[in-house]
Amino acid sequence: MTKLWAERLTALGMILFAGAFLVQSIDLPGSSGTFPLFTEYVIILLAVIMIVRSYFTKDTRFDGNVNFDFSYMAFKPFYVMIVSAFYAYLVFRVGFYVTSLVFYFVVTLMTGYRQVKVITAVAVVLFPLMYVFFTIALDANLPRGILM
Amino acid sequence: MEAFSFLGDVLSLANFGAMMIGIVVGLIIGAIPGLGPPMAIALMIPISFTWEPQTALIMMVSTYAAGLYGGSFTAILLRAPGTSASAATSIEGFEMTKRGKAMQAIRMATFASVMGGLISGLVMVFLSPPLAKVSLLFGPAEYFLVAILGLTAIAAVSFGALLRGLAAGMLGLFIATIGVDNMTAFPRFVYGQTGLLSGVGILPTVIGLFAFAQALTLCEGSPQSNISGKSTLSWNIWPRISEIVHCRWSLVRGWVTGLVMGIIPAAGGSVAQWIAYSWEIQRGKPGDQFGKGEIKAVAATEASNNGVTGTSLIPMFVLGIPGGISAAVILGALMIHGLQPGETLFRKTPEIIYTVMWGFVLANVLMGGVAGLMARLLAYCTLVPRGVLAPVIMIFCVVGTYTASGNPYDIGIMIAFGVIGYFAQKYNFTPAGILLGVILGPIAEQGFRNMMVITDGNVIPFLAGRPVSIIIIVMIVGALYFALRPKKWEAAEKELNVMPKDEFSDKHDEFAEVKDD
Repeated sequence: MTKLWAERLTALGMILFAGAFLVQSIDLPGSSGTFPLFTEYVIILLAVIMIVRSYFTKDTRFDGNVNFDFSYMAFKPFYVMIVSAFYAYLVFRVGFYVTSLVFYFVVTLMTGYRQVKVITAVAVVLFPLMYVFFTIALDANLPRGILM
Repeated sequence: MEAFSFLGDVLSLANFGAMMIGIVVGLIIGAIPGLGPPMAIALMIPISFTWEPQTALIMMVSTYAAGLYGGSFTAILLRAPGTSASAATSIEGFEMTKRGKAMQAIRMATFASVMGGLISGLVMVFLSPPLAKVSLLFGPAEYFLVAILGLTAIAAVSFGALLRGLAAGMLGLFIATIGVDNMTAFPRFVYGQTGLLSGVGILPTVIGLFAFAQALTLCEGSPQSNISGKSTLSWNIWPRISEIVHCRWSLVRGWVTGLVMGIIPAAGGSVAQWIAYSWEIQRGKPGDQFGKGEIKAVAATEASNNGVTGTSLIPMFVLGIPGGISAAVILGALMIHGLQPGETLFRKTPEIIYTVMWGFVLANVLMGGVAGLMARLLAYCTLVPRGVLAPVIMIFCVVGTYTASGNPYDIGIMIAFGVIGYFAQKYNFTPAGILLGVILGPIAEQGFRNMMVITDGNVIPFLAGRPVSIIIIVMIVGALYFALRPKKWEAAEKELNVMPKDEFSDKHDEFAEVKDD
């Protein structure tokens, strides 16, 4: 796919996004919908300008194709996003410290880092320090669950 | 002058000790994303119940100044701003870290912050009552226009991708409308989720867009490499004279911006750093590398950041109008110690208020020295492998987000913004634009709607009769003109765009040959 078509598809996505919320904003009572409508109209306007510009631009930044890479290395951040979503869910069920410890080991290994001694040493230093600082010293409000 | 007669009082053992405690606590807590000066100040209040009022308040204002400065460390080293006020610094500061110039960025941030706080403190000492009257000139119309002025910074920080930058800003403005509408009490776009009724907070937005997104970016590439690509660090915390001279006008612009914007309650601090940043981009010269790690931008944003601190306390001390959350917490502490803000504070208890103000001035000077050791220790983070650093940053993002609000939804919002910020960075959609929209959206919307109610729709005749509004409109037009016209440094960069990025950066970096020590 060329970069120009990627630009057009991005603009189309913006129109669909703004359009979906625009329909809802119209039904908001009183003046509640004024500001959201303003932002949605401007987003649609900007997207239309992006599409029109893509047919006339001579900007070299739009030359060439978009490179798609489906390897694990390229998709690492996506997998970490999914794990983060699980982390955010479990941290309130299991407890902050236990969930964070598991999350730390899982993500470190997912990134491809394999020096287990370094990973373990950091965990041994970091988590007790966090406990002393946040829970004991600051009495900070951290997520609680069935475990720590 | 009366203020000078209380200068010696600040050097008592109790006051000096309170100042040092405030500086250390402020620096440490300010550096952790999400915790920030308001939490640090709030933690100090119970400790100081039995203290003399001036001693307690010296500790609070020292914590405030140091907390804002402390947020710059993680902003520069990890692109994880400790406070929203350091977000602009993180953009250029982190790029400098990636080029192995972390300590150079921290040196300049230290100097700019120390001097900014010092100047701001002196303005507060000598000009509090007259300057407080300026803040009374700001009504709904002026707040709306100040928000628009802040939004013009989006054009400057888009770095050529203007349409995407504006789209990002509009997305931020839209996101700011989520939650209960302040005027009609009608929930907007919450879809039955009670956690969204309070809207999208600035803190989860900042932490997500910058820190969490950066952690996701760190997951790419080789997990063994570190951020800076270096294996050693420098001990030198103070900038060279040549660096200060190189950035002199950037520093002055930043200080002026901070001093002026700090007077505006509730809006000034958020806007100051972005106005300073965009002003700097507009004034750029050929060879400047905005977006790739430009030290002048770090100087300007940090100068404005701490330049705001003193003047933002003026409306609080003189009128009882807090300029931000930190000032509101300090106001609470003031009243706990039996003091009432206003003219009587200066007339009946000058020994307290002027001692506190001098304490603030001195704290800004001392925090530069205390920060030296802390900066060096924190800078070791840049030597940690990415594979280990990424999950640690994510965990601290969760801590910071949840500790601030206690709202579980904020963690989900933070992660969502992290994903948005990751893709925004990848596809040139300016995360800073989204953040600006979220910060300024409520101010702009409320100001606009209040203005429409007051004027009954007749906005132009209303604005024409308000000199401050006219001044701000002229500033907006000027900012848009300078933001949209071609910049000398962009033209120079385009001429040389056939060169590989790193080669270009080193060729035009005046300090490329300067080792980071």
